[in-house]
Amino acid sequence: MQLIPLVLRPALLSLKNRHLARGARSVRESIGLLASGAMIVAMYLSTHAALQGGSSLIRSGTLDPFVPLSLLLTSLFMMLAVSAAIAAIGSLFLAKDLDLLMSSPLPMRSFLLGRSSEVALSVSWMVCVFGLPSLVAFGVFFDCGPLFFLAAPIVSLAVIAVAVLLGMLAGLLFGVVVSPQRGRTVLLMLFMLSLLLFFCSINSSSVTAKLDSGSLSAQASAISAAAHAWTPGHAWARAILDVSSGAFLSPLLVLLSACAICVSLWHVLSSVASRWHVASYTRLRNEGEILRLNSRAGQRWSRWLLPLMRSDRRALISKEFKLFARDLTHTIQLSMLLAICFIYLYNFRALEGPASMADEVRAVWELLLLLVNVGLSFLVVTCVCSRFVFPSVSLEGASFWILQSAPVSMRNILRAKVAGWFVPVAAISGVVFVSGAMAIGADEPLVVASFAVGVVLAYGLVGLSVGLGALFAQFEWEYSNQVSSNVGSFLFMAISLLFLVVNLLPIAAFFGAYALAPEIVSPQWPPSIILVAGLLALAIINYACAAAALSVGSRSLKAR
Amino acid sequence: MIKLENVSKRYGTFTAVDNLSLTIPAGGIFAFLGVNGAGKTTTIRMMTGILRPSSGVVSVGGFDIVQQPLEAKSLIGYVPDRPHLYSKLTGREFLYFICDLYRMDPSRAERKIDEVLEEYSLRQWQDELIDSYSHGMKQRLAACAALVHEPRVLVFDEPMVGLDPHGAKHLKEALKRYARQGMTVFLSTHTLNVAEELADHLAIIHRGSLLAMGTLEDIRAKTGHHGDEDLEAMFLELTLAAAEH
Repeated sequence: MQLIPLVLRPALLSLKNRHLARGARSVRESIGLLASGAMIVAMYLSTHAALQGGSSLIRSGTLDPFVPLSLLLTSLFMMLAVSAAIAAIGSLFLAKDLDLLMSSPLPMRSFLLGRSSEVALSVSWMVCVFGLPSLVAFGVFFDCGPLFFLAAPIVSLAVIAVAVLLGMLAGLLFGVVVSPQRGRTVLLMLFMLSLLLFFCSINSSSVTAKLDSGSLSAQASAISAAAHAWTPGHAWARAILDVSSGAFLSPLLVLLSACAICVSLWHVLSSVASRWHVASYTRLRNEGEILRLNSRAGQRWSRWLLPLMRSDRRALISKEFKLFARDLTHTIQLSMLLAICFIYLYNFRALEGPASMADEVRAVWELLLLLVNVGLSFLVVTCVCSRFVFPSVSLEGASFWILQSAPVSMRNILRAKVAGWFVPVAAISGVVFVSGAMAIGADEPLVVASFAVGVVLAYGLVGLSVGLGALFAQFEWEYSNQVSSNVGSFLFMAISLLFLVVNLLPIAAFFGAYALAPEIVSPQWPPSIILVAGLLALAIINYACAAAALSVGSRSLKAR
Repeated sequence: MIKLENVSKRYGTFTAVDNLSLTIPAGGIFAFLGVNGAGKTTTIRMMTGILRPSSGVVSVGGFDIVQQPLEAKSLIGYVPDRPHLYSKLTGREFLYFICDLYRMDPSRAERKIDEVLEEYSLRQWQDELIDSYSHGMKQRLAACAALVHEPRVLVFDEPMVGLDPHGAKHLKEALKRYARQGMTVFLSTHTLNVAEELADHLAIIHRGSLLAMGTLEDIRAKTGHHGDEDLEAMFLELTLAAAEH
């Protein structure tokens, strides 16, 4: 215990005590852990299967294994750094124990060491889920010796430490320069700017690449930042592949460089924190105290915007959005997720079918791309839900007594959350689905159907998020983004993948019937009837899933 | 007005409230006394529908809190011992939220909000985030939220905690006034002089079980005390005896 940084000990002891506590919650967490284990295994198996599937391309030299690995590791590095930055803002400026720590004779370096370890632990699940199984799959596929399994994790740990320290520094600088209270305004401006960029890039056609089976590596590289030698993912992937082939010079260089960068980052972090952290924290507290709002106007607006809604439901929805809009960590996460949407669509548009394809092949190719778009867009929307909708019940936190003692049923509370979140999630989902369909040049009815699929799936996903959020509600937290990184959130991601499979089968059936054989399926009616019938079936599936999740969630909350 | 019949609450092998029965008449102030950890807050949380009893029945205004929770809850205003409110709402926004949850008419809600904010001296801070309120201000705002929908039963858990002397004096006078107006005030406390000063009826609980219930005179009679013996002496005698058992 003495070796663990002092600031980190309360968090670890709380975790241990939670684990020792018996009851329904520990059963739920055990289920969550089992599901997490299953997801790690699934990640390993899918990576291994993907490598085996592409083995002929790898052997013929068409696909360099470096490309997918560097893509994966670059994404992982970015995810780690971004998540660490978000967690750092919370732990350095918003945590509840900061008053206690700031008033104690704790050296800044000990404080930072504790906070950095806490942030590293909070983002480490990504490494366990995405990084570790993929590395093992690479090692097994390329038949590497035990040295690979020893050296690859050491190199990876050093690079991960760089990502976490970069995130810590970014979070600290954000708090110092912008101040978390004013950050919302700055981020909203960034958001508007990114929207503008998004529409500009979707509408431009200058960078559209054409697919050619002989240039798969080039294609993947062209659309990815991992192609650049200076990116950490590039060096990381090269080091791991060199280890797998028995070469140890470049891994050693990467390891030494990563260690040197870590030391430099640590010194910069300490210097910045020693000089400005207390001042920024004080400014944040002062700014919070002078904020005045026009409460009457807000109430008038909510009555005007939702005129026909029951007052209790309207109150729940407007409360939800006021709290959301005033929580800085949500704004940061929203900006990051919109950036993910943008990157996804930017990359996806590069897969538009070549003009030289035969019509039959082209139809199959477009259908395949359309389904891939559904799957990937679904994952993007799932990310949005896992960050905002799933934690919405837990975010009631210690104030949950207000709802428990009010004359409103748990079912209605959850339904209000669904009603509130459905509109923004459906808007994001609709835009992502339609933009993807338009980017690959799908027919107009299919573009419209993609929009409808996006909206229907958004309903199912929001219902699932709220229901599972209630089932795995965790009301004890220090700052809001802790909620979205708990075991329940992880289980939600796993269940949503299953939900995707359930939805993808009917979507494939009716999109396929429409695109490939409309005259066989519907000889008397116009082909669009297939889309309408399919969408109706999809709506029923999603409504049923959402209703079941809400029922389980409200029962769980009532039983607390 | 409030009736608890053989109510128990168990957490695994630990029994927080053990076969408790209470009958609280309509109107007047009822003080619920006990040492720390006696089961006062657990009892209150069962009365307000936040916790389900492991066994027994709790009814408020004739409505069973488990079977007819919405009807029962609409009669209650509750102020918890630790006022965790939505920190990113302003005081006034929070009261609008409460009025809408209780489905109050908008014009009546506006009038009542102005009234309670004035009464609890929060008008000047009504448009500031609750985040910036002191503990006492949050306690007063929680009282405003409990009163704004005009409940028939007011449940106060440790009402004096966090209040300054002016706030405490004001609250005591307000509670007496509410009782005179016909409201049933249930307050849990271990501040015995407050209970002695305000309560028409008292109950003393220890380790989840009822030790005594009735008027101050009834409890004096039960403990064999006479005349002007204060509540503190009786309370200490009863709880120490129970602890020795």
